[in-house]
Amino acid sequence: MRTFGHALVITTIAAALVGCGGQKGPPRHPVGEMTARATAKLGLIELVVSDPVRAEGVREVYVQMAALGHAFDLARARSILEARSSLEKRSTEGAQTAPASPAELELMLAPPLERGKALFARYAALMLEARTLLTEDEFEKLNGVR
Amino acid sequence: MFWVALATAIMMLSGEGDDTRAIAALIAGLREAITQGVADSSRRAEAIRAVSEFEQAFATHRQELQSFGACVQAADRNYRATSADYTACSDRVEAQRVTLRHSLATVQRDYEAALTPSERAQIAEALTPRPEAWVLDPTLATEADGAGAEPHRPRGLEGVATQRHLTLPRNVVSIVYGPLTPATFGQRYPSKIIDGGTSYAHQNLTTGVGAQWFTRLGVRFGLFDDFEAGALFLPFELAPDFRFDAVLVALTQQFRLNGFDIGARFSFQTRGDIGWALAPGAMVRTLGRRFAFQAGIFTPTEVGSFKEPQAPVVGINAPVRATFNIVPAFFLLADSGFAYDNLGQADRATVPLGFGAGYVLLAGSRLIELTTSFTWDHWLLPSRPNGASAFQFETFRVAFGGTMYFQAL
Repeated sequence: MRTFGHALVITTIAAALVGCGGQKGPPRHPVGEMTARATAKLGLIELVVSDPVRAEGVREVYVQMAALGHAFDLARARSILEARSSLEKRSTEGAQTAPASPAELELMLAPPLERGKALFARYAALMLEARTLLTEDEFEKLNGVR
Repeated sequence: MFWVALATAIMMLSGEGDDTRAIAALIAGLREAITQGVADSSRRAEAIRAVSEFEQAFATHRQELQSFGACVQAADRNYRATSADYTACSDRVEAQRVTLRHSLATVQRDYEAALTPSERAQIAEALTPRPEAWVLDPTLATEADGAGAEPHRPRGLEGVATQRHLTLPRNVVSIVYGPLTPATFGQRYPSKIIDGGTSYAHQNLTTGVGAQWFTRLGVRFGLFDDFEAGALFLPFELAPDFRFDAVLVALTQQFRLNGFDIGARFSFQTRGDIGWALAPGAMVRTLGRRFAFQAGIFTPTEVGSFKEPQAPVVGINAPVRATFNIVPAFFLLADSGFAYDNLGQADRATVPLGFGAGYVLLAGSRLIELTTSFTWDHWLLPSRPNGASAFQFETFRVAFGGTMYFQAL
């Protein structure tokens, strides 16, 4: 009975936390999951790839992938701050006489397209490089991690 | 489910990873500023409609990005994917950005047509001081401002034993049913020694009991990058008597330095047959490709219970552990150190000696570690109490079990 009571309390707390943490609004940016897929593998490469030299090469590739995700997040954070700075400059009546550039508005939602394209091109190149270092079996095992 | 919920809640509370929160706050702030700053109802409605269109443009953009994410994931999971597969994903995003730009141009035009320059300036002035609207992720804010980057800890499972830190990475959960985990390192109290898994203790010098069987199961969870909480909440003595034992709770904060970690741990046992017990202490651990060394110092104290208060029994415990990975999946370790189980008695100094081994295997997204240990908890008694032999080979403990690790989110 006591165990059942504990289980009930834990389930209630879990349900409450899920309720509080539930996502509202548009979906999150997919870069988070792309980065998580890379970082999830970092600590497990040596268990999958028995050749230490190849294992080190694969690890380096995934470290770079994780760094790319961070660089993209940073680009997003910077573009938001840039949008804020532009808006701040327009907080006087005189500055509002000229129309605002839609590009400033776009910065609130996404970093400059060229920056995103360059980072994604590097991501794709790294993913292809990882395949050259991994056998299909090793690749599938690491795939299963996340 | 509980741990997933807890991880989600922590991420929501800290704002980390919640990349829609800033933009949602921005849109809410815009609506509020328009409502308060524009007196004319028809112009106000027009401006609010423009904000709704902006919100819709954002939602559409994110939906498209979801498709992009699914496209990349499909390519990532295909061993035979080519550069063309990735290009196909990015081409779609590029086309969508052109659409987004057009939508935003219309939104901007409608917004500016609805409001006077003075009203727009007022709204801009009201919106910019709202920090919640401009911080995409608190962990990135200082870096984006040009300040130095905090070193990030990868949030994945740590497979090789000698490369593990003192705490679990954030959002990593461990179901503990095995000995030799960091949470039970040095969990030696005046009246009992605690480790995970099933254990057989032969001759307890402290209690005088001949042989005892225990089984203990629990969980550890990386709550933050360098902070973990854990508990062995299903502890049972199996023999000679079957009973529920005291629950062990451990909270650890680590500080990652160059090549080694320092950790502060606070552990306590709930009221069992010996009352409450506390064990604050500190640990240090060096990490290496094949070799790791860990040492700690703890002051275990048994304080009795509220109903049956007792004079605190204080000990001191300084365990050391050396771990060697023969291959990445298999490790051996040796435990020793120094323990003084009761500072109130003159002859309680002990040098323990133990050995252990573990095998790690990756099963899909989970890591399973099988461990076993053999320990002489009172191997050497330098002061030879009551004329006892200096070496106590008859008093030993054997433990075995398995521990599973996985990511909560």
